[in-house]
Amino acid sequence: VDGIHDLGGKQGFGPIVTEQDEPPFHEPWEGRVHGISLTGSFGPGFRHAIEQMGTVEYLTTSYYEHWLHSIVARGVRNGRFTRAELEDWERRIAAGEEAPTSSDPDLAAAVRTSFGREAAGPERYNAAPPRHAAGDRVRVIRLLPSGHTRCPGYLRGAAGVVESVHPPQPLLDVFENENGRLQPEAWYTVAFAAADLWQLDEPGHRVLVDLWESHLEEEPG
Amino acid sequence: MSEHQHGHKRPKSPQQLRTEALEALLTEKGLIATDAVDAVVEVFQNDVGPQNGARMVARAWVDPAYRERMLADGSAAAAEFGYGGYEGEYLRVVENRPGLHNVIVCTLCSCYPWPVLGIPPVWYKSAPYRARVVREPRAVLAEFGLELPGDTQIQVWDSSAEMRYLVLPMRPDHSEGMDEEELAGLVTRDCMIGVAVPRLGVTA
Repeated sequence: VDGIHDLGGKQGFGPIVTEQDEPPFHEPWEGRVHGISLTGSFGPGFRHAIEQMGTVEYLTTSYYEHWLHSIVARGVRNGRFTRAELEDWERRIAAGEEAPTSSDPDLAAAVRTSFGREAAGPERYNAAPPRHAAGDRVRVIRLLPSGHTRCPGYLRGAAGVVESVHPPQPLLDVFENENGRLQPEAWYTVAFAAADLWQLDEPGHRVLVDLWESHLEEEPG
Repeated sequence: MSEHQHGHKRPKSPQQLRTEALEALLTEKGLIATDAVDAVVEVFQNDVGPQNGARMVARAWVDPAYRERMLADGSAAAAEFGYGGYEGEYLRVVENRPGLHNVIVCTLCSCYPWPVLGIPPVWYKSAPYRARVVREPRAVLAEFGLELPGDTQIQVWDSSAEMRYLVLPMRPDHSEGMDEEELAGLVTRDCMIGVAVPRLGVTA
């Protein structure tokens, strides 16, 4: 999606507003959204759903509002629930009805160890050998996929140098756009001189971006 | 005011109401378990946060062999402390050196190494940071109070795929007498994002 979420390099934003001693969650509902998203199953396309928000809505809502939007959009689209059911519960909660609780001790225990020593490493995938090696000059494709893509728009058509090569992982463009289809391929960290991306004169300013093979073509010569 | 007087409680925000309704609906349908949601909240409030990354950085400062392992494979170095999991499967540690400074961002979303830094701050997820830091890092760092020498090279890492990044800052001068735990206290979240550098007297 050639949308506003693709923010890298865009101009016209003001200063960065910081907050002292920021808590992980500012409101209890933010933590609930995080927990629902991590432990529920709403179908692939978490980010694509956010990217389909309207530009003004995206810029004027918070991170966890984006998540909430994605859960509802995918939950409805994939038949987990309907908007009418959600709105019915909104009326009941607003009228003071208590929300139900439920327990899955195994899942709760798995969550508690999910960032610990027993955490699983990345899944391994087989794919064709990488086409590029560290040091190769490559060029980013100019025509980006029209759905979800992990190729930032500011790199469109830019030349860079492969800095490192990583073992195959599913291309997330395909995963999100094609309902979870797995297309593993090599991915790379590619270094770009900032002066090749924008009209700048800051020697030594480099931007390093992780791109899948489908985002790159060989630079002739 | 009594809690029991109806109609006098602060009304719920639309986000709170929607979230509570969503959780009730998903619970009713058996699609989530509320105690598993509780567990996620507790993990991020209590266990996972920048204190984890800070311990790794302090270890790297006092143990050159650990530093080498950390730079070679960040995920394995995190696992030595028992940190791992979602958003940390591929962790790369990038090292600041004299004349070279690193800073991390996710321009498309807000990807962040959860197991070692926790939940990202709001500014990291905000449009101004994501838009500006790739293009004008020096100006952004100056806004954070970090003025780098003019000849320092800046590398901005945009975590657009599976890799998550952690900056290994330089150990501050005059910290020779400090032990590992005291050193970890100097390593703030912002130092590991790369918008600050550790300073004596500034603690996490």
